Amino acid sequence: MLQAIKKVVFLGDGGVGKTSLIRRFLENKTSNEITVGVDFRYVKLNDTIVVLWDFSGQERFRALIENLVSGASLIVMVFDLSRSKTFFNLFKWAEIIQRYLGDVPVIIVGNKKDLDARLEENVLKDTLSQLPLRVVAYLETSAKTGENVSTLFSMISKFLRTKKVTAPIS
Amino acid sequence: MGVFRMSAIRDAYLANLSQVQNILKKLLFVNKGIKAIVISSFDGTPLVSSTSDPRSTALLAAIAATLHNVAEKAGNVAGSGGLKKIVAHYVNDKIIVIAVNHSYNVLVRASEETPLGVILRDLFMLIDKIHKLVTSISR
Repeated sequence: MLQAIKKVVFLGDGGVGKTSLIRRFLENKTSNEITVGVDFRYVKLNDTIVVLWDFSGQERFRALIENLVSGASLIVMVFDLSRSKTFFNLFKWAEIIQRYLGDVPVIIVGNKKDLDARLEENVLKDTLSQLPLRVVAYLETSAKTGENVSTLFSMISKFLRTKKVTAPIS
Repeated sequence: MGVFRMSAIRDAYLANLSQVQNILKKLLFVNKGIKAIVISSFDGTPLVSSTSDPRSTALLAAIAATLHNVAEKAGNVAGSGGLKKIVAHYVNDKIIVIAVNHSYNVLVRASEETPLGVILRDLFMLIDKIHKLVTSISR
């Protein structure tokens, strides 16, 4: 008998650190290579079997994403705290999610916290509240130092089990 | 009444699942070159697997969805028409993915020495046998 397998999709612009977050959690390493198309990793979070679908953020692979995101239980949308463009591009990613997935829960992650370049609090909150998505949590991480990476995966695990997380956006 | 209906649907689902699993087991017994068969939906969700290893099942289902998607896109761009099947040859194995009626993928991992024609013959016989059952499982 097959156990339920959850699909968690990582999306966001190229170079924001999606693969590094996954590798930091699974292998305690980061990644300097771009993801070509899509990569997937298997992980057991508590008793939940999860396949992490790590999509390339490069524009040329966008067509690949459109067909493969369906069936996701949760989306992790990552941006780079030091590049505001990647934050505002979350709207583009939101369009893809709306078009191909509908009302799927989303965790927003601001990565590269170690660079100490922060968005203004009010800009961050206003923009997040305008995203046409069911955002269930917002978290700032650093794949480089490992800060909050395990918190992110605990959040994913908890959400998949309970459909609730402990750090919703205020 | 509702509970009865739900349990009847669940029983039918489990019966179909078990029938498909038995057919897969028989095929693996007859064709020793086949190492694994995973039937999955187009989004990479596994429906039935010949292996009880969840890791290999989950990853092979994801591979089937990705290969299918990329090959279909390539066919569209090149104007080659609809996708029939994908055959990838590796040093040790070959992987074959067949998309059935726009509803599910069948992925077979077989040893590279096993003749492709034999695998395809067995695979199409398998699809004939399981099609109705899998369609009901995938709904």
